[in-house]
Amino acid sequence: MAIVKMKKLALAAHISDEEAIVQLLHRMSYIEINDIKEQLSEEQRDIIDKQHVEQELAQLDEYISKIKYTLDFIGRFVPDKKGLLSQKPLVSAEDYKHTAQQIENLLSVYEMCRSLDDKLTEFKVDKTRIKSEIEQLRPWSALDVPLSEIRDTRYVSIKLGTFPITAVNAFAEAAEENNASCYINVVYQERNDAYLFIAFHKNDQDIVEQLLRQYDWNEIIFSGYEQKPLDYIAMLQQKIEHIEDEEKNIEKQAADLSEYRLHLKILFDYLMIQRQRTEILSDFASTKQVFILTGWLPEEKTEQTEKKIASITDTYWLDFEEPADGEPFPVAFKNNKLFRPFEMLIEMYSMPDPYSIDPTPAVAPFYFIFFGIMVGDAAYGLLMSLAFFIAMRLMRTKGMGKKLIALLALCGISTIFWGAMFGSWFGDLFHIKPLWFNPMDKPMLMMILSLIFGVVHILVGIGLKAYMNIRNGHLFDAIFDQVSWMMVLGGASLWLAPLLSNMLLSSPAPQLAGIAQGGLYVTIIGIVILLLTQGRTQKNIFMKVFSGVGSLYNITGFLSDILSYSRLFALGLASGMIATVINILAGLVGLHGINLIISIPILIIGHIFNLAINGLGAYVHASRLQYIEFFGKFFESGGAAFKPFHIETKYTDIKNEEAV
Amino acid sequence: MELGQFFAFAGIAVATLLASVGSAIGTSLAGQAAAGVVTEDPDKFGQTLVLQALPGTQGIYGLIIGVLMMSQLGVFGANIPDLTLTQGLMYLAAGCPVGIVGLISAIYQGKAAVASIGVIAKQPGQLGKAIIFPAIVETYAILSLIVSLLMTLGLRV
Repeated sequence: MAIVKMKKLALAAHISDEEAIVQLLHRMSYIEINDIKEQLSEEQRDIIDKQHVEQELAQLDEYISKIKYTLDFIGRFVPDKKGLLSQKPLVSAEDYKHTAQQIENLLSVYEMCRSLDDKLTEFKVDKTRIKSEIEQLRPWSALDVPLSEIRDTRYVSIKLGTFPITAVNAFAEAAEENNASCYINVVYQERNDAYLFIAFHKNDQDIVEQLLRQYDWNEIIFSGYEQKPLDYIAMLQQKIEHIEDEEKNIEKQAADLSEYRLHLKILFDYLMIQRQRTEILSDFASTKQVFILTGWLPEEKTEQTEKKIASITDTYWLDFEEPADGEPFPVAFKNNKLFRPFEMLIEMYSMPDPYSIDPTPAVAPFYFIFFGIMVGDAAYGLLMSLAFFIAMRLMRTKGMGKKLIALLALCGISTIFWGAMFGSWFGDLFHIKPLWFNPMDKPMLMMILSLIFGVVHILVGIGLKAYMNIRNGHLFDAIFDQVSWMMVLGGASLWLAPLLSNMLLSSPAPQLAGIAQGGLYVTIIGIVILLLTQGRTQKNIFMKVFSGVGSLYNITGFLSDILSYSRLFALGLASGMIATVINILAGLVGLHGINLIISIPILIIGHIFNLAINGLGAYVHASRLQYIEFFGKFFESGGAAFKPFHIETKYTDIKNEEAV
Repeated sequence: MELGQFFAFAGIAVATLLASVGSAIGTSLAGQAAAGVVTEDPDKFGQTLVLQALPGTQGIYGLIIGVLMMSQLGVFGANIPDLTLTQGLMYLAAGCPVGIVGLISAIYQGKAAVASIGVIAKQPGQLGKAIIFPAIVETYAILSLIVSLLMTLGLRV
């Protein structure tokens, strides 16, 4: 229930044990290793030789990128299917080592993929070339003559080419005016261009050629073509078909390679693990004989670490040290199983200052309640809890994902509770009576309930700040800055209680009168404290008075914070109402006999949609209430998350991490 | 008499219509940005989809008010009760907050969502933070929903 205490670690050992020790630390996964270079002078840095690390990394990176390429290439032909509940294969340490021995074999798979890929690229280029050739020939397909025969005879000149459509007639007329005998045949017409066959007597060559130029003639010469255009096109198309067959053949070969996929994945992760172990070496300082590393580890792990290192070698020097006063150390939380999922909410926001507090135990109950109210439907809660508890059992997720699943499973329980309280089971589908009240019938009661939660939440937030102040020895700050406000807010809430209950619930509550009186006095004392103390850091007497009075202006801030909790009411009502709308829609179709064929899918799809959209809304807005209204009162950010040196894999899960 | 019913229906229309138009614009803005990110990195589909969905809630709030008014007016039943002109206008007034605020806030929330999608494009791990920025804009849609809701519930015919 707190921020884990960390100790600084320094370890020196003989270089021959380096590999074994890195392996050990990697398996232990609870030591964060610092870059030692930051603690060294320029001169010292120069002594350290990192060249072999860089070489080794370059080699590993080359292998990794090759394997990645191979996996991606195979994935293009045989997609790696991912179902909703499908998971990464579970691989034992022995299998990783075994697969690593086959690296040559798997690299040859890479070579194969490479050559297949090259061929495919080649085919693609060929196909584009042939297709463009076909496009060139296609306009001439009406020309029923072998292209080789279209050439000048002794007296006649023959040309193929294009004109802009508008120029065809103009050219013909111009040729006639100049008395040039010219045969024009429009072979094909496009939107803009006309494809022409032109024949003219060689005597008229000069004048015709001049006219051609004048009207934007674009001559097309087919050299090396023997057959008729249509025959030629057919031949080219056959070529394309042939290439496509080849392509299919290659695709099949590539698909056959997918049998290596699992091995490739295992090898990839093996290489990734090796890479992590090599990369970390660049954070060490090493000479020819000795290496030194420094880092952080949780205090409770010190003995265990010492023992484990001693089991590897007896030539080592190990030192644990408390962080210096005020020295920042990496932040990790330690909470019991029930609270652990809620740590995620803080990790997503920002890590707290290492010398402040872990807000998880305070966040957890409120988040739990708020989420439940905002979804507010017992049947939805049941579905959520069921789905996510099953997912927890079946899926091997780690870190944030694992916490999120657990969080939603837990919040489902709260949703069941509030849904039952408000009588919402898939909205009003079953007409179940609420255990407490229906928010639709008593909206103001629901509103006030939300605001009460808001007041409590904010009081807890201010209280935590007071606790932090007291813990740090600032007792008076706690009384003047926090307790005073708690008195104002708490007192005012009590003072307003009978007023609200009279006004909104239409049920006078005379027994509240005494409490209200007390609340008023508490508020006044709080205000007096604020007036007298908020100017205490100011030197000038006027500023003292002004700061005291001015601080009361903060009441508007608290007011808007509290009103912000009305979203509990709005979102809770929203999900119930949409559920009701879905039920109405299904009801319009009819909930009996043959109509069920339509109305049941409406119900299922509608309610799943509603659950998804409201689940998202509840998640977002419950977080927001923590981050803005709650954390604003006490949270001190600025910590860095604890990032232990640990094994990370991409495609596989490790069965026995202690042996990898 | 009939004018009263007309204005009541206008209230339903304003609530659902304006809020839904706003959501359509907002989700479309965010959707375009999300599609751009997904072209680069298809794995970010889920994360960006969440952000795209955020400006969609205003339409739902409008729908809630619309349906609430309809059920009060007995639109789903056989006969709609007669309303005075004032009653009808009050329904119209009650539909305005969620309609108008929904329209405008959804568009601006969409813009905030676009920016947050930009966060996801560069910092995939920061969905938790990115989601909060558009959510702040939504607060005002929620407030208008509450007001419309209380106004409508206060209008028992």
